[in-house]
Amino acid sequence: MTAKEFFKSTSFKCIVALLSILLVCGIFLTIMHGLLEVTAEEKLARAINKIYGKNVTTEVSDIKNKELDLATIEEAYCVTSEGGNYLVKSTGKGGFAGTVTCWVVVEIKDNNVSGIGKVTIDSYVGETQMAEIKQSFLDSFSTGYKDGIYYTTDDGFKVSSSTKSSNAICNAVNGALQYVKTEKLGMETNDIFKDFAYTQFIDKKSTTFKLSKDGGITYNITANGYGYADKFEIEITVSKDKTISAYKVTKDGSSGGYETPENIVNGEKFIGKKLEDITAILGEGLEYPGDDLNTEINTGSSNSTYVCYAAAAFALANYDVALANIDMFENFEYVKFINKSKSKYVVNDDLSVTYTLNVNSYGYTDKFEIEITVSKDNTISDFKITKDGTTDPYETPANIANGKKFIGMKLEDITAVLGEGLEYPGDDKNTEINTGASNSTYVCYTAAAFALANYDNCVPAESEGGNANE
Amino acid sequence: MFDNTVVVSTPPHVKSKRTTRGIMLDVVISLAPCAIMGIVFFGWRALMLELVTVFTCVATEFVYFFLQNKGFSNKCAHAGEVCKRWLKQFDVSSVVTGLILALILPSAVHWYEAVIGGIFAIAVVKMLFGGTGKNLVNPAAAARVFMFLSFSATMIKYGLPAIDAISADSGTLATGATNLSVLLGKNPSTKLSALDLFLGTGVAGCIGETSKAAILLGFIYLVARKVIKWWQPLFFIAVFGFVAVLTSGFAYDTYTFDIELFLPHILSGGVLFGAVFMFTDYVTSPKCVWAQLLFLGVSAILVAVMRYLTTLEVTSFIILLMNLFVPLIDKYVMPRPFGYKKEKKVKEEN
Amino acid sequence: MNKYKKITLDGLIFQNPTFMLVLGTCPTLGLINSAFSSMGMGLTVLVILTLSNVLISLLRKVIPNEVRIPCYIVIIATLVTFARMFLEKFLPDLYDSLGGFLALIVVNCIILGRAEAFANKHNVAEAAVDGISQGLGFTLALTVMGIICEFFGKGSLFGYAIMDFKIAMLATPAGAFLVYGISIAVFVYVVDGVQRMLRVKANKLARENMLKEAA
Repeated sequence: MTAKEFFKSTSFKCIVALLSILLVCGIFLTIMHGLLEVTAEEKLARAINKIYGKNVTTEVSDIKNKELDLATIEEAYCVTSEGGNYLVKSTGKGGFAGTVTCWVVVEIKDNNVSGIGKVTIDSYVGETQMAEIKQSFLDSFSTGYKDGIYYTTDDGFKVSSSTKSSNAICNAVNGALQYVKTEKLGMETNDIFKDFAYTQFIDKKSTTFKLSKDGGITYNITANGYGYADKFEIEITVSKDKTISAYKVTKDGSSGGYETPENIVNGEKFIGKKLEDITAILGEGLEYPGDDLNTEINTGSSNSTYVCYAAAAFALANYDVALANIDMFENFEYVKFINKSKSKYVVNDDLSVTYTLNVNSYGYTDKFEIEITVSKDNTISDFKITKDGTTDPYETPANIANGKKFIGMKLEDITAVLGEGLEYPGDDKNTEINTGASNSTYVCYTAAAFALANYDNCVPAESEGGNANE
Repeated sequence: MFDNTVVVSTPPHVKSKRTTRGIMLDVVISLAPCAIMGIVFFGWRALMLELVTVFTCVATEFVYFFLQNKGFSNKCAHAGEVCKRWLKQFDVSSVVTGLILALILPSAVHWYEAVIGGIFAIAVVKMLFGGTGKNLVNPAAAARVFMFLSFSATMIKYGLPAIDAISADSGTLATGATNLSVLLGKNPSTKLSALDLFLGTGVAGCIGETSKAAILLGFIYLVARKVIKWWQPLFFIAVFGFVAVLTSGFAYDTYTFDIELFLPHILSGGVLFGAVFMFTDYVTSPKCVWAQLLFLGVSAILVAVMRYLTTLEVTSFIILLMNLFVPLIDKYVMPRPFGYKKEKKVKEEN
Repeated sequence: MNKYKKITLDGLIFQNPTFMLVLGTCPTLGLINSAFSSMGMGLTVLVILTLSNVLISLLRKVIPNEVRIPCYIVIIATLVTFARMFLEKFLPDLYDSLGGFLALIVVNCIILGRAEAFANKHNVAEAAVDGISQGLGFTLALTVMGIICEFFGKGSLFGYAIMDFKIAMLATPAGAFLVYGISIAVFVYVVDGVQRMLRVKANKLARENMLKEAA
């Protein structure tokens, strides 16, 4: 085949046709690519656009504390074109068996949160009933916003056929709110469970704790549900040696057909348990072990049992923190005269009670710090002013300053002078109070009254009997 | 001049008094113990589901027949005649399908879901392929798979029976778990004693699969009436149990062959029910003995292995899968024709 | 004019690519769980099919017979790539919902089939009409099945939730297969029925005419 023949042959025609089509198509696509390329910024803008429904300008906002109690903050943007609103991607915990990730628009006005703009679902893991979550439910977060709101399913923020997933969404929104409030607006959240461990298992809103009669801590825990198990209400007492001394399920959240085992409802199973006993089963993270694992949890109602174990772990793990945070003077009388946070008391071995009181100021008087010991027969056995709050030119009378005046005093002696309400009698009345420093004297009298009136609160009747036997 | 000893006729040459209707009635009777135990264990929901599926299946078959035979043409002129014809050909097989379907459902299934399952079983799986004897796969198994994929929320809600475990060795099952889920999990063990598993007391499961004693009763009846051969389910169960024990050894931290799991394995889940009532279905199982052995053996191995791999009860899926292979097995494993002798291979001499 | 009518009817009914030719089943089974995406798919194919038919019809004299298939594939692939770019830029929602099936249009039998069976034998106008009618036939079939599958499988229509009850299997490719098969049966049954009716009517008319003439 000569060259001339080749150029005339069909093969050549085929090659030319194919190559030219390829060339034309290639050039066309190159040009189109240049015209139609979608950049990375455009993609992010699109994602945000989907949420806002229009184009907005954003700035990436940094996150210091990603892991909140009930949510994980994934991403956050400050929407500069919308008056500094925040767009937070937050993953709410506490779903049916997983988490729900939402985009939450937190609206800002005057450096304060003014509302929830919009909540959209980004993705979810482990939830089975997400199809039930409708737009109207997501809208209820913006319509139902109040200042300082904490969204819970109990307050109606739920879809009844998908309560657990609703709970996770509530948590995601709460997490976003908390993130914006604490990190972006620098507001302190008044959260007494701030330093507590394992708070993800409990409902912080309705969980309380107080000093128990034997010196341990009694928790009234509302435990979050898990899987088939609904919320539990459990009363747990942790004694001084950090073991459980009392355990009672007051509201059983197990669902029909899967009743909580008897020895868990009446608490027998938990008496004497230590934190290590529970982490030995569930591990440090208190993960649900799964139905297939053959652990103690695997009872007829594994989910409920798990919830009860988690509550016990919460109670045990937080003994020290709770003790530090406890309101020792709950139910005490005359507390208005003392500064609760700086006052404390101890029960001595001989059943006398020694108070270290920081007494509130009154009139001309500054704060007093007084140590009072009330003996077993409910009289004052020791009275010592460690810091005199009397201001010049007044001077606390000597018998009060050294406490002699109060030794042996009973509550009746003080109420006889001041009345049941411990009202300030007034400077003109000629009472014992009317010394050279009436205000200071009054303050010392109230402190003494406080110490005397609350002896029974500090030393409960039972422990008295118990000690007497020793 | 005629030789009367030789009769020339078209097949079938051998006839018996057994009819499809008679056999199907036998099957219904053999299912009765399971149905009754289901009602005892799961109450009115079980009864409701059994009635709903049976009614739906029969009604669907009737409607299909009515339409197919043009019951509506000429302003329903032949409606009565069509109904009569339907009654004449009615062979109870749709009742069997409906009853089996109800028995392999959990009691939590809603009635309308059962209705859709019944319609699917009869209309799509059976009638579209030509009616009784022509369906490719077991209608009840196909309907269960269809419902499993469609209504996953209720189809995995296995309720606990009304009667608690009676044996002292038995623990209580975890929420939503069956004995099978414990058995197929890591480090397999059995929560319930073999006695409880056999009686079905305290066993979470499907309506009819829970009480193995009832299934055994049905099995004995079917064998006595010569509806199925005694060795079919036994062969299946034996192969299955052995392979299941073999495979579940891998679920331990180190491989352990624990023959004590044999009983729990065969008594958990729906294997026994499938072996007795579904793998022995005439229409969807091979014809000759060797083919049946092959069919049952492969099915048993598949059920055991897939159960281990998926940690789900897969019996109905395997029934469906193996049913599709039946024509192939029938083609290659031929029965020896009557009077046929295998030709001996004669060595050719040089 | 009659020619175009026939091409159109063929595309929509008698040679409907989905129900009669059973072409392009892969995107059909994959996408009919959602009415929106199946309609989007149908319209995308409509556009690509029309363009490819026109281009191939234009080039039918130029392209040598020996290399026609590679040439068609190059042209179709170019058009599909262009369609992808266009959708990603201007219709990102549709682009996301079509996913990998968009790229698979290249090997969609309808487009190559029409190029091979029709466009390279007819002029541009006819090829364009064929592309539009075949594309419309495909779109309608997919949309109808998409509506059925989405309604029963997800309880919604074009993404708007309607009811809580759903038969989830119909939203899976396996369920789509069921719906597809039943849809073909119904379509063929209806088309056959209508044709038979028309024939009976025509016969009757012819008979009457004959009788009239005889009288």
